[in-house]
Amino acid sequence: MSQPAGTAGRERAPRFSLGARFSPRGQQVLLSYLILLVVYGGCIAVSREFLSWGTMRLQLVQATFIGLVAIGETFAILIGQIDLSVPWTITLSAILGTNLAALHGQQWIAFAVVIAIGVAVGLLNTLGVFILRVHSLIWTLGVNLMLQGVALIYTNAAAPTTHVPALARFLALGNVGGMPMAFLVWAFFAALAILALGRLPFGRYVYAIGNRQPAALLSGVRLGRVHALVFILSALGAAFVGLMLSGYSSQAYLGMGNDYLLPPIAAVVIGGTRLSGGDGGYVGSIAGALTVVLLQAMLITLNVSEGARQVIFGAILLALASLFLKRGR
Amino acid sequence: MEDRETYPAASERPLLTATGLTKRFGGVVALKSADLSLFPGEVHALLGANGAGKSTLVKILAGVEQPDEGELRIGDRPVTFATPRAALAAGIATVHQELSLFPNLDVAENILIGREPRRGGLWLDPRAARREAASLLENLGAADIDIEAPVGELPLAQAQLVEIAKALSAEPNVLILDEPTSALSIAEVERLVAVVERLKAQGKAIVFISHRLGEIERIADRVSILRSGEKVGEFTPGSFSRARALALMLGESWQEGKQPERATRVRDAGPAVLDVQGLSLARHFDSVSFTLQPGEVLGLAGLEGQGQKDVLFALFGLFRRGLEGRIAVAGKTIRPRRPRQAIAAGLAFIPDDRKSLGGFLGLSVSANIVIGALDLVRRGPLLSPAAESALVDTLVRRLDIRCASPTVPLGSLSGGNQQKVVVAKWLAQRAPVYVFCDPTRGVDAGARAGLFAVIRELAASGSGVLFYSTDISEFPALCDRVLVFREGRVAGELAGTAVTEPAILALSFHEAAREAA
Repeated sequence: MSQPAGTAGRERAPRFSLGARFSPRGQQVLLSYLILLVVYGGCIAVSREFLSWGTMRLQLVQATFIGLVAIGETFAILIGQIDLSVPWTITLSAILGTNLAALHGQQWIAFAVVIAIGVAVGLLNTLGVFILRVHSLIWTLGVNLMLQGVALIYTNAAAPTTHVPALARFLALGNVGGMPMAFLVWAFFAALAILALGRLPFGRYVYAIGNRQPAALLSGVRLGRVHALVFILSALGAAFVGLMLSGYSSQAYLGMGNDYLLPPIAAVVIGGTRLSGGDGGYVGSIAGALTVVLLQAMLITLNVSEGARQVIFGAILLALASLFLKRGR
Repeated sequence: MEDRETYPAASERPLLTATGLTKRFGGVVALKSADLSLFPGEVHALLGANGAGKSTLVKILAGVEQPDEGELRIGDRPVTFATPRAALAAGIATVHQELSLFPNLDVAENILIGREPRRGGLWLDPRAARREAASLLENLGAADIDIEAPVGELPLAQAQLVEIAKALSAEPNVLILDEPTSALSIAEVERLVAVVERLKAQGKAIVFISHRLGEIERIADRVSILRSGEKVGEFTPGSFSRARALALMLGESWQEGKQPERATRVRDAGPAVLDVQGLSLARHFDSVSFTLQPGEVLGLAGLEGQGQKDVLFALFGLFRRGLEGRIAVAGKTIRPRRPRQAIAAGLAFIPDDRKSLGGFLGLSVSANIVIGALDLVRRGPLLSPAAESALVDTLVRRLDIRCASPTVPLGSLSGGNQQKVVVAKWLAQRAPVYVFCDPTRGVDAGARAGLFAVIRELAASGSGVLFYSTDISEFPALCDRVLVFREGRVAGELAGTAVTEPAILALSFHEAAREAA
């Protein structure tokens, strides 16, 4: 060791901006973006359409929905858990939000519903996973089922509305300075997520818990609080995506969240976050969300049947996932 | 031992002979050229302090470890055991201290696991299993154990008999019992002694490990004494003497009859940084009281598992229920139920198992150091990378932590440097009380010296230090005062020059020490 440890002036700052602060995982993030490039190249090879802004604009909006859900999922996976209650959090939030807002003629009610559902589902997941120590795979899936039940009960009693808050529509379909509003929303929350993981004490606790929970306990980390925050963030994101999706399709309907169970998790895994927790970050998840959306779009363009598309999409996701799981030892 | 009459073959030809067994772990010699002969119908006790080499010897006999040198013979036939299975096949069964039972399976299933009786070579035969298990238990005089009860529901003493029955189902000639009595009550020990007598009468050779000299005197025919990996003596049947055994165990520095005097407690003028009164926790420790002065290094010594470690855990809020007594840090009474509360009160805790408790191996050195002191490196709501690296650089230099850069993962550092990082975590904020729980486990001599320097420095700067180690030689090197624990209680206290290895050991084997006096 030629240079004694602890001397000042080492390279330190530049890599942090990538969110790669905790282990030499800048390459991991790089790999995620390389995969994105390869998939995008594949898209272009399949169709020149993907070079047009009009097409890509559409993909960005699609990626926004997955990317927003992937924020909460990234946090959940980083602490070594998973959140599978997303699909029906999305649906229930959309149905309740649009209906109640229409009923009272007030847009803000839809946002209040997003927050109420986000906090309620997040706390329910914390109760099961942290306090009752049920594996999050089981518990959050059970919560998903219960939310589905609530949505069914509610839609049996109340006719769904096609009247969607204008603000929800603007968030999903609006245009600001040539950019889709949805993408700007994503960029905003993505920046917050990256900042939270890299520069807030909360972010440190997330990595600490995912890395080794007993050590976090001995370091004085408030385990319950961090778990609650993570699950609330995840449910809030899903509920918010529900509102945006209702604006996107101008309606809220049963099952509208069903496509958002695995793609966000796939985005997180392709983004290089280790499924066992403690290692990764949201920078990669962004590439992951874009990759997932482009893959889906490519298969649609190829005009394969719905069934075959699902098989191929699943196979590619599993291949990518195993690539990353191998790398993560 | 009313019945001294032994199996006819006793003391004629040994069942198993070990000669010159040597085992090294890295640079440490755990066992040095040890000889051992096991005769049928004889109980051979192994006696020695922690780290004397008993476990290594047992592990070699059981096929868990392979000796670097030396030879094992069964009868006249040289044997080597590559696996525990091979040892078992050769007729050597071991009941380890940690029971290897399946709590959800019933008694019969546990006893016959891996040897289940079958019908037609395929189907399990539960009736035959129950019959066989029942006869094995009866053979132990333990027919009262419910053969169909899940083992998880049995009291520990019964579970242990099940484990012994399980070992006997392989029909071994040699049975090794590793500290079978350490967790048992007096009545339960009686029963176990009866079981051992029975097995002896059946001609088994039994290796018996215990720290209780009284027990050994009663039950053992032959006693081997180990010290620092060497066999330093053997008592042939009828020749055992407690005083001699103790002298052999403790080494040359020990002189018979010289008792360490119980030091009167030195009370400083300053108020205690830690005051513990009547601290009790059922099944862990009982009425433990002590005070810690600023600038003092207080050792909690004793053989392993005498409650001293649990006291430290309790102080740090790792036992949520059942804690009785009073804890005051710097004059303020606390009831720590979470580590966070203990930390807030001014305790810093350096655990022994840095792989799972102390550090985050996957996170950077820097993240590990500041995790407990994030408020110090915050500017507004955000962490400041500049403030963080300034703090980390200071601590890395102060503790001389060897790493390429604080951004490398903790797991890439050597054991000693990892431990320093764990210590550094608690140096960012000065705590009134530092608790070191076996901090030198698995670190090399150089790192150990560095760690000791840090501990002395902490004390010199006015903190109180509680120190626990599994290596008894560290107490005299470091501690101003030592409490010696035995079976969950403070068996004695040593201060100043009275803190010596033999004195600590003598108090650890308290009963014997009084005898020897």
